[in-house]
Amino acid sequence: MSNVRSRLLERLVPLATLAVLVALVALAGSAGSESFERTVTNVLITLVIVVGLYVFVGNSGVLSFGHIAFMALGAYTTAWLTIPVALKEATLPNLPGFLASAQTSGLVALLISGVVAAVFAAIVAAPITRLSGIAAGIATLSVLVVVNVVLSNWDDLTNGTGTIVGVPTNATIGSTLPWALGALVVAYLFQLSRWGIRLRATREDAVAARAVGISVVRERRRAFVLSAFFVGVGGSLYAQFLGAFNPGQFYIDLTFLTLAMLVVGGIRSLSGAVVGTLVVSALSELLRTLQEDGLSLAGAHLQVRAGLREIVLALLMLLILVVRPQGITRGRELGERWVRRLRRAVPQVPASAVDAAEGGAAR
Amino acid sequence: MTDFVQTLIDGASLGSLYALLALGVALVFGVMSLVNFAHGELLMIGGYTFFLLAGGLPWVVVAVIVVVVVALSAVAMERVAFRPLRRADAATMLVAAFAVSYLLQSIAQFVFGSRSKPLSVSSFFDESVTIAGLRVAAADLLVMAVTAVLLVGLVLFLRRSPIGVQMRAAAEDFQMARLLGVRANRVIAVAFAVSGVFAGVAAVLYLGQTGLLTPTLGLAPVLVAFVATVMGGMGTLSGSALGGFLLGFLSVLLQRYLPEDLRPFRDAFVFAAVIGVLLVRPQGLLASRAGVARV
Repeated sequence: MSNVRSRLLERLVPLATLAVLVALVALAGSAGSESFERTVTNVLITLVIVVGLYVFVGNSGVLSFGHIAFMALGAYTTAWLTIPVALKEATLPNLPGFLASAQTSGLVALLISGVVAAVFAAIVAAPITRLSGIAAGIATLSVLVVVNVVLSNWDDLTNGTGTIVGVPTNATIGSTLPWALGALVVAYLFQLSRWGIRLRATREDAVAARAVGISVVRERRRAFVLSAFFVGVGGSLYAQFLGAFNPGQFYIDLTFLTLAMLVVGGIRSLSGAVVGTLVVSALSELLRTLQEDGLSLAGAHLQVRAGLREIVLALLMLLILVVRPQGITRGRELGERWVRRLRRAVPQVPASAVDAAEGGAAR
Repeated sequence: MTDFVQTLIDGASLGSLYALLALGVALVFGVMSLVNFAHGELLMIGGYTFFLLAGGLPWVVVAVIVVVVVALSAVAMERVAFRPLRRADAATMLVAAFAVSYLLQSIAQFVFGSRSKPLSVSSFFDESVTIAGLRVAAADLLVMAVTAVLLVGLVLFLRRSPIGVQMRAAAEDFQMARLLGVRANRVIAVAFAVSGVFAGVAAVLYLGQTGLLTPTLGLAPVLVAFVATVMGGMGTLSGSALGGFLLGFLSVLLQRYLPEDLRPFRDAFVFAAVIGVLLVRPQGLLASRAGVARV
């Protein structure tokens, strides 16, 4: 009995490690200056999105370029629901009646945004989950293009390629941290659940998974919808963080950045999603500081010229990929090795249990 | 009727350009299974090279230099960024390609600024000829003629030259080809060089018509190239060319016949059609089903 309980606890070690890591980042943010606080809020929002992306991409092994479309839907849904009615009449006079008069709190808008993104994902999942490999990539990319074209041209709803303004900005570290932690918990429980394990089986070998009776399409669809919900929530948080945005912000650049975070961290583990987000954000922020203020160290003044930041960031990411093609975490969960070492020190666990646990965690 | 023929010519011209782009992407994908997102930046490099050289020399000479520079850039790209990652999985290579693309865009932005610059390739692109009562833009004729020459050249290269045969073998089964003595580095370098030649030619033809240089000019063409390649049949060159032509025709036809108020949404229809095609034929239009593993 105690054996079972301790194994359960062991399985939760990676999750606890990640949660503590994220909470520490949030704590550091709330202790820092106002601009640092905004930076950390932005990182937490990005974390929600990358973890959401991981739920589908990491577990299914199918690359998606379309998730930023869900984020855009979340952001615009929040805009329609939260911009004050008077302002909407002035800036978006042709909004359909029910949207023009809608006025909800930020939290309600956030939940609705997540649901809207999930429902849209459930619809587009029908074609996408049937595809694999590069065809799936291109199909999701097509979804991104379609959503972007529609948002950029449906002037009545979105102000076209122009900026939509007036979303109440009430995203703070305090309001985003619960969502970052919530996304972590759900993503981790999902990958431990039988759904997650089945989906990972299709990732390793789709043919073998089908042979043992797993429906690839159904497993992928479930993860796709769950993942879209979190990305939609992330989009809503982003809207409430920025206050004003345009469709161009939800396109290839952000798609690349979020995927890069996932791959730099390690696409096959939740820790990879978290570590990748934190490392890439930290590098980007460090370079921004160097560019704006410079760094004085032992008499030498180091300052990066404007425009060099992007170049250095791209080079650093390439370097990480070349040195660690499997990502920084190599697809392992944080704390996994520590648990294994601990287990070796306690010999009463039967060898077969260790084998089973290691077999499940090896990837 | 004249109107319809005119539309067909426009479609063939745009389709030719798309086919050139799609073939550039497919050549690399064939031997390396790499979706080279940085292919668009090769167009950008070509554009800025033209910008720097334009003025003194005749434009055809500049165009040839541009093609050479772009081909060399493609080979350098492979050597520096993709060779160390050859064994990495598809997602890593793809993100690396993304990073290369972002890097090159940032460098262009750093050196030339992000504001768009006008580029006049040649006044030849603005002229037109009248054939049997039809006014045809010289640019359209040039694009179609050049594409035809390059397609024939590519087919001859792949069938007649030893390295071309090796490339086809490598595209079919890379491991097997290596076991039979095909040198991987050489085949991949040549694939990138040929892909670069196609990108260089496409750059001149594309910019000759748009006439605008920006650091991000490669994005829209490369998206089209990917979609065309996958829709036509990933890895098969004839499929990619077909995909390019189909997308070109589809875009032009929609632009011409879509109701006025839906016209801004043209690309949404084009890309929705792509999803539709993939749903019916996940392997693309021309790919055989033999390669699909089954239960």
